[in-house]
Formats: sequence, C-alpha cells, structure tokens
Amino acid sequence: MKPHTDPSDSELLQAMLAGEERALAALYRRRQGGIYRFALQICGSQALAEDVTQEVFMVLIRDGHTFDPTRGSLNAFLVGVARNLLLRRLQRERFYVPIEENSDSDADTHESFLTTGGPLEDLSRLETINSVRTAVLALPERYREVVVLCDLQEMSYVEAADVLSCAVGTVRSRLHRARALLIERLRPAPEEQASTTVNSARCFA
Amino acid sequence: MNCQDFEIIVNELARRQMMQADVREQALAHTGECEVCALRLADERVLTQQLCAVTIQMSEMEAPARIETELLAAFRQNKFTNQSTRRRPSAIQDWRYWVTAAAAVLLIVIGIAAMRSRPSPVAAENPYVPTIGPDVAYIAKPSDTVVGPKPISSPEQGATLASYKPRRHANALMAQSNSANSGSGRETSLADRNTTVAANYGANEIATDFLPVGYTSPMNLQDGGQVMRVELPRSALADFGLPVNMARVNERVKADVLVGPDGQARAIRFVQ
Repeated sequence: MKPHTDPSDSELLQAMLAGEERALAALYRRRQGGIYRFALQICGSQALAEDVTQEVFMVLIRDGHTFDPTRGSLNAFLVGVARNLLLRRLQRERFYVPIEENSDSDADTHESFLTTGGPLEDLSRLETINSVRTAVLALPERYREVVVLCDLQEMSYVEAADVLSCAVGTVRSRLHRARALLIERLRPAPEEQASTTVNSARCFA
Repeated sequence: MNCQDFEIIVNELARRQMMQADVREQALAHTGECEVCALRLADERVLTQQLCAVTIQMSEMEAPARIETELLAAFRQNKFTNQSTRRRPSAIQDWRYWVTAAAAVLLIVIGIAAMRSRPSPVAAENPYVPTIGPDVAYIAKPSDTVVGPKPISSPEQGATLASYKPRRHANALMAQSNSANSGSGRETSLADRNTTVAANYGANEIATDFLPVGYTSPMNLQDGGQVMRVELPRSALADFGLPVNMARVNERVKADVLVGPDGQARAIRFVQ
C-alpha cells in the first residue's frame, strides 16, 4: 500500500503543469509500466510500445490541461491516449511483429516469474504463456483491447469502458466473445492430441 | 439456473469477480447437474489462469530508462519555450492579420485597376456596342490591328475608309464617319478590343462592324467612298449571318451602306 503522503495523479499533474519537473518524473515512474505493457500487449512490438509510451507522456506535457478529472481517472486518460496512438500507428504501418522477435529479452523476464518447479515445467509454462500472448495478439482489435484491459491490465468494466469510450455492457459482451475465441484458439487440435497418444504408445511399446 | 443464465455469468464466475452469493451458489450447483456447463467453466478457469500467468510474467516489464531522460529533457525545453514565447501566438496572429489585410487591400486595388483598363464586358461581348467615340474615322491597313485614327479632311472628300480584319470575316472591312471635324489627334489601339470598331453617329446608336457586300476587295475600298443611311427589312440581317428575331422580322432596321466611287455598295453595317 502506498504511503499516505503520496500525492495523487491529479496533484502530480497540476504540479507538472505548473512546471515542476519532479512531478513529471514521479508521474512517469508511476504510470509508465502500465502504459508500456498495454502497448506491448496490444501490438506485440517492443519498439512500438516504447514509442507510444514516450508519445503518451509528450501528449501529457503538451496537452495535460485538457484532462478532465470528472470524466475518469488519469490512468484511464493515459491508456486512452496510448490506445489512440496505437490504433493510428497500426493502421498506418500495419506493424505486427511476431512475438518471437522479443524472445531474447523475454527470456530474462521469464526467469523472474519462473522461480518454482523444474526446468521441464518452466519450459511448459513458457510455451503456454507464449501461446496465450500469440493468441491475444491474433484476436480482432476490439476483442484484443478488452482482453488486455480487463484481464491483463486488470481494469474494471467501468475503467475499460472509459478507455474505450463505450458502454459497460459493450465491454462485457466483447470480453465474453473474446474469451470464447481465446479458448477456441488455445484448445489443442484433435490431431495433436492423437499424435501425442500414438507417440507415447510407441515409446512404451 | 439454466444453461443460458449460466453462460451470462460464466466469465465473472471464472474471473472471480464480485457477484451475489446466491447467484454464485446457483451457478456452481448448475455445473454439478450440467456436464457441458461444467466443462465450459473449466475452460474459462484455465484461460483465466493462463492470462494471469501472462500478467505476472509481464508485470516487471517497463519502458527503458532512456525514455524518462528524453521526456524530462523535452519537458525542460517545452517549459523554456513556453516561458520565452508565451505571448508569441498573439504576435503571430497579429502579424498574420495585418498581412492578410494588406493583401486584401492590394487585391482590391489591382482589381479596380484591371476593371478600368479593360473595356466593359458588354462592349467586349456584344459587337453592336460602339467602342470608338463619335465622329471619328480611321484608315487602316488590311491587318488585325488598326494603326490609328485619322480625321477626315473635308466632307467633300467623302468618307475616308478604314479596312481591317473583323472577327468573323476574312475580308477587309471599313469603318467611316460622316463627320469630318472631330477626333483629331486622338489615337486608339483596337488590338485589345477584339478588333471591333464601330462608329457611333448618334448619342445612343449601336452599330455592327462593316460587312462586305459582294466580292469587294480591300484594294478597291481604299479609293474612298461615301456612307449612306438606309432602312432595310430586318430579314436582311440573315443575309450577313446576323441573328434575326423572327418575332420582329417584318420590322425595318437602319443600316449604313458604304458606296464606292463607282456608285456601287461596298459594305454595310447595321445600326440600332
């Protein structure tokens, strides 16, 4: 839990708009991770996620006064800006980078997560995580957004609706459909199951 | 609870979202009765676990530190720019305002000058409108441009002729005035007036170009001649390729006929 003395996002924003560099630094350190991960989960490209993260805070520096706290949280505002930037960039560049390109950098991060179990179990988890990320990236845009926001970013339906500028019911229905698609895509193919059985039988034969 | 109701809340159930306790119990009880819904809930729970694993795996991911450095540098620069040029937008707007105003005034002046330097649109488009003042006659070479006016020396000499190449006729035409003592020394270039020359006898008369009659050559016309005012049936306009108002075809129209020294008609122009 944060110390009680921590200023809120709005306070930091006001201080930043007043010219305090430290307020910007604090705000950036607090929110950059979520923005970066959101961008990475949406586009799958580290370079693009970095660009978008930087651009989001540039927008905040330039047009931070346009933020209206009555319309939602600053985090939702920033994620919304990131979403708009991503959509623009993706439409312009069709910049879909396979997840394998990030395998080297991901491996370092994986180690922090895979602290339990043996190497074979870790390998299996890695494969599962990669397949899930690939399946999320393969979702249609509107379904991918809600999965990233509600499941990966752990936002509430209301927050996600603020980011997407749509109704809560729309978020729910899209999430329902998106999860059904993910289950369908992550389910192993019947041939794969059959071949596994045959191979096992041969091994034991 | 039936399968349809279960499908509505299966996501929240698998994601462990807050819901009413009795609804949750009914849903779980339904999975004990319905194998399909039980499998559906199991799939959703597996997916939730997988997504949680992705979330945990990516939880430590952050943007590179260089971005923060660049942002802070941009912030400093932006702050400096804002402080030093806070009043600049209004200055730019003022500058643009005055430039726009000056350009507008310039355009108006140029427009007025252009309007004054060109003939009136009616005269340019309507060959019946006279473009030369009254009582002026010309001698012109058989070319597109009339060199200049030359006053008639005396009425006894008759009309001095001007021949030029009209818009619609290849033959040389003539313009003449029956007044001999006016327009002296005045020169007018007609090249930029579509070579439309017509002399206005009265204050309000409008005349066409002189149109050749028969096969008169320009050389014969230079010998001089005399202009006679006659009246002709309006249908005569059609003989010279001019439009005729059929409603007034029975009316008469005035015309000036150029009669050569031999007494034969050389050219004609219609007057209104």
